[in-house]
Amino acid sequence: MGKPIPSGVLEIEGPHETNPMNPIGPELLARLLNEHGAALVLYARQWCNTPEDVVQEAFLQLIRQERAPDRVVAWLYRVVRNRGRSMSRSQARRQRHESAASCHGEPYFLPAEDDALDAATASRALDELPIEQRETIVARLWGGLSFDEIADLTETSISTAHRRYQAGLAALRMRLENPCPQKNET
Amino acid sequence: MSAEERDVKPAELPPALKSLEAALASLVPRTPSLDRDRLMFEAGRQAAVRSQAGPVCRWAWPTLAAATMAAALLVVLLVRPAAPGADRIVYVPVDPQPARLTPGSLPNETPDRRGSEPKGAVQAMAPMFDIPARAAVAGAPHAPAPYFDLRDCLLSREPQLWRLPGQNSAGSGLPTEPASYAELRDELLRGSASG
Repeated sequence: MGKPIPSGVLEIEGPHETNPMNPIGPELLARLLNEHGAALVLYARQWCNTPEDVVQEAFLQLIRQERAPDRVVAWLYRVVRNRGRSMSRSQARRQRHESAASCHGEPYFLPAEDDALDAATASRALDELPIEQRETIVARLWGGLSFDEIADLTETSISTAHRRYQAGLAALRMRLENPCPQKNET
Repeated sequence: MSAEERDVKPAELPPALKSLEAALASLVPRTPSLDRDRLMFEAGRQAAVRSQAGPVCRWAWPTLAAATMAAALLVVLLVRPAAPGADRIVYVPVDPQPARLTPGSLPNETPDRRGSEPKGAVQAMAPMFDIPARAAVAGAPHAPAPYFDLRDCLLSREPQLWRLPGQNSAGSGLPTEPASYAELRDELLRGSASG
């Protein structure tokens, strides 16, 4: 399940740093699966229709590592991003895939318990964001990565990562306030 | 977008965006359908493989490196290339004609096969006879002694010079050889009386 994030200002706990000398064991793998499996699948869904396969291969690649990465969560997101992009390139066209995924894919989230935000509406609004903003928001909100890690992941600066995050949130707010937003609005 | 907006910190989001952020964070992503059993099996298998092959892997590279170095040194030792030799050309001056013996060029004393050689004998005889310089070189201790060469030369050329007093020397002006002991004694006595 997704990692619980406190309301208000997001103070996400630090990255899962591991001892680089120790390889990934079953205990750490189980903890990573429980805490980050769902968010990783959500992150991989930004690029491909088979996000579970991408995340599965990423975890297998992590298991085969002789030494654990310094920041194992950020490492997993990087592997998922690379594999997802590679899989997206292997498909016919990225735009076609994204439109198909947004039209026929399942909602990204489970139904909310407090009815504060409709999960299906949020999924659609998130789908309409540009990929740069979308992956930044997913990595930050549900992945728990810091802006430093997101900048390293997306190969941009920290200020660019934060700018994308803020712009994405603003666009989501507009879409969520307006149930029928225009497609070309950014 | 201005530079101030670009440098804004994450905590400086507008309040409306902060509330949206919190609402979005409350959404729970769908549970993935990952093959958890396969992942755990792979993790356990890899851990077992590492625990078995760990000590070997730690020593594999140092052992291989040391063995390679030892083999290389052995090959170098066995197939050692020959020391580079340089042909050296030595020019030895050779006199076109053998040098003549001069009184000043002879050594004072040369080794003798029978002992000491008469001092100054070669010096005295050198002007009179042609003696090769090789026989009188001081740096050639195993060369034939010049004394004996000189003696043989003298004996062969001037036998009359070595006749004793009283010997018969017809035509040479030397005294005749005494025939007996008495004649020799008398001749010696005459010589001592006259001298």
